[in-house]
Amino acid sequence: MPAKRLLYFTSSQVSAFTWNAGTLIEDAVFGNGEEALPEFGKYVAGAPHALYYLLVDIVEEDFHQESIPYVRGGDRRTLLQRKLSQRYRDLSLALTVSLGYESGPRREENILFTSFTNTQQLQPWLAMLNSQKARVVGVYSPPLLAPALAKRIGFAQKRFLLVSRQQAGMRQCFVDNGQIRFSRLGHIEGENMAQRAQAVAAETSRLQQYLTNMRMLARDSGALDVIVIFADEALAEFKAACVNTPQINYNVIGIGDACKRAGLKAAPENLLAERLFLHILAVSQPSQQFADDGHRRYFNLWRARVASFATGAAIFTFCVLLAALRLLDYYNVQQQAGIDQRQERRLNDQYTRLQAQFQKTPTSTENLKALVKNYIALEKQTVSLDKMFVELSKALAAVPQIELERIEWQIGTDLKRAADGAKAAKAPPTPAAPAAAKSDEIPIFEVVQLSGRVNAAQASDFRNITLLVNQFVAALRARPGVEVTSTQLPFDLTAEKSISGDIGAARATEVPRFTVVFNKRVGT
Amino acid sequence: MKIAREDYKHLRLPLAAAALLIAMGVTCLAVSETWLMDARKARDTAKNSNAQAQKRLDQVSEEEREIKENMLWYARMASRGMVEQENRLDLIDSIAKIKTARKLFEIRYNIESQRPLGYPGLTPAGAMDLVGSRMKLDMQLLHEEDLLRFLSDLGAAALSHVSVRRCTLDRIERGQSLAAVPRLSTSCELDLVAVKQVKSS
Repeated sequence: MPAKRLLYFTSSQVSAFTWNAGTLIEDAVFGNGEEALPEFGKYVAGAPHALYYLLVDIVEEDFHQESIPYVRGGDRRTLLQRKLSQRYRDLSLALTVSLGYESGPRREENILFTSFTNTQQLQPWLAMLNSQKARVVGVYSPPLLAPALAKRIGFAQKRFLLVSRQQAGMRQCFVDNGQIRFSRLGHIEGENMAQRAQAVAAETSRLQQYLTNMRMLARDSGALDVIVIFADEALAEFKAACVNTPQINYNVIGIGDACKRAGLKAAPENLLAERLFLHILAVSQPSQQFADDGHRRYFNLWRARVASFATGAAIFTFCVLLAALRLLDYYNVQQQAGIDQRQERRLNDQYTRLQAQFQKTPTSTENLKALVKNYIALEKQTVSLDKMFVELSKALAAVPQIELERIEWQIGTDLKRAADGAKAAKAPPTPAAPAAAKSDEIPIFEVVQLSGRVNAAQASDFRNITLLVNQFVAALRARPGVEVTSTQLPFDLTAEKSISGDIGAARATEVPRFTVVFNKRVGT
Repeated sequence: MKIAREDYKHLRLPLAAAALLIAMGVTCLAVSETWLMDARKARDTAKNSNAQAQKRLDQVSEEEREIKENMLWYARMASRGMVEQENRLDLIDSIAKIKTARKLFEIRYNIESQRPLGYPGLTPAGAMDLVGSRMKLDMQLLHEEDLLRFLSDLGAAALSHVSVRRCTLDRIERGQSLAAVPRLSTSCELDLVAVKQVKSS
């Protein structure tokens, strides 16, 4: 973390301090004139990486409250900028503080406009800081730090008046709802502490009256809490002088006690209450400050650099942490895999030992298994012609007039193709469909096409011929598993075809012929 | 916070450093993620292999029983002469012997080259598989019993497994003659099935 340098501006001098872990060290004191600037430049150049906080404690500080219409975004910024430019000459050290919205239909926003009415005394110092590329964090004034100071010393009220004595004089800061509303810097008249305490009490009472008259303080709002921070040695006088009234409730705190509460460990003895403001500025600087981006150029640049690098480092760290977790997982997973691999090797060795005791096979066990499976399928498809001849003989025995001339037998899976193949004697044998070959449950059929003739009947004795062929077919069908798929008579008796014959003529030499196709599933 | 345009050049180094750090971090993460994924895959593979090895060991007695059973089938194939290399001279001799013994008429045959058996339900077995030689047979028969006996004798000759695929029998008109002349002609296709070491495709 870079060093923190605090510059305390008053109308008479500029004091430079280094803050380190709650300790305030005075580095240098410069006269508030241009002749001190070169020396100041050398001081700044001595610590090019330090962060500079400017605390300006001068009389020429203006506070102006105004209500603006309810506008947002760019319009609001433009409006505030215009209002500032109407009120102040130098906008580089001007500030607007939102004090909230008024209740009501118009919802106007209360804005506190504040700046230094004479910035000429500050600009040379800021220019020197800029020329030395100093990282100016901001320009602050005690009123901006008053809410944080009160909180730091344990004062939780949202509305109070903080009275303190600095080298610049007596500072009175009125804070309402946690925001600075008004402040003034004045002198304390009096030759001794008692008189000064009386003067502080009188000034406080007058300011309370002023705030009430200016309607910054409601008349029925109860007693105003006043925090009075003064030297420890004058604590008794201040407690005696600051007597509570219905309008004012005093809280008198010695500077030593306040420093202790705020966490300031050590500070130069010559410092008054400004030590508290400087300490607060070092530990918890408020977001509101006077300097514009021009004055804070090198601080913003430094912040951007730090943010860039920090972002990269954060993402890198995050990724590395995730990667480390994954590597941890990787290690565990590898351990598990190693256990499994060792276990597998052990099981394989055990299996190999047992397998060595198996009966020797002519080929691998898987190949043998598949070969046997194929052989069993082959045996199921190996059919003897004997059975078919037996079926035919029994059917022919029932109809002795039938005489077979041709028997076409084949084995196959596709009945239609098999039947067609039986009809065309020269057709190739029925191959097994490649897809069908994959299934064990493909039905295999014996397909038989018979061609025969009918003896002892005239060719034109349609009724008798039909009867005999039907008797033969019926006898075939009676055989278990036999399915007759087609029968073709020597004539067509349907009305769509012509038919001719001779009745009463002598027996003709022509013998009527027929065709029957039947099949039987193998295994039935 | 506003950064002046001319100050952007001062941010090049930190931005580059940030980009480098981010790239390094992401690379570390990606590499570790890849390693982890690979390790998980290897672990899953090892786990599956382990489970399979355990399963195989659990089924070792069943496997032994199966091998014994398959070897019985293999012995059956061997007893049918299927395991021996096809000897066509012996086959032709057998046909001639059957013809003589059964007093058969003319037998004409044609045996094609051995090829994989394309029967339904058969799947490629591997290094050792069934192959078949398609045999076309034309015979003159006194009656159908001659065909049945011939096929039975051919199968019993134990040279291979005989699978008849197609047969056609035609009556030959001889009138009322009682002479011992062929009354039937037959044309058959049958496969002589054997076991052979096949080349892996």
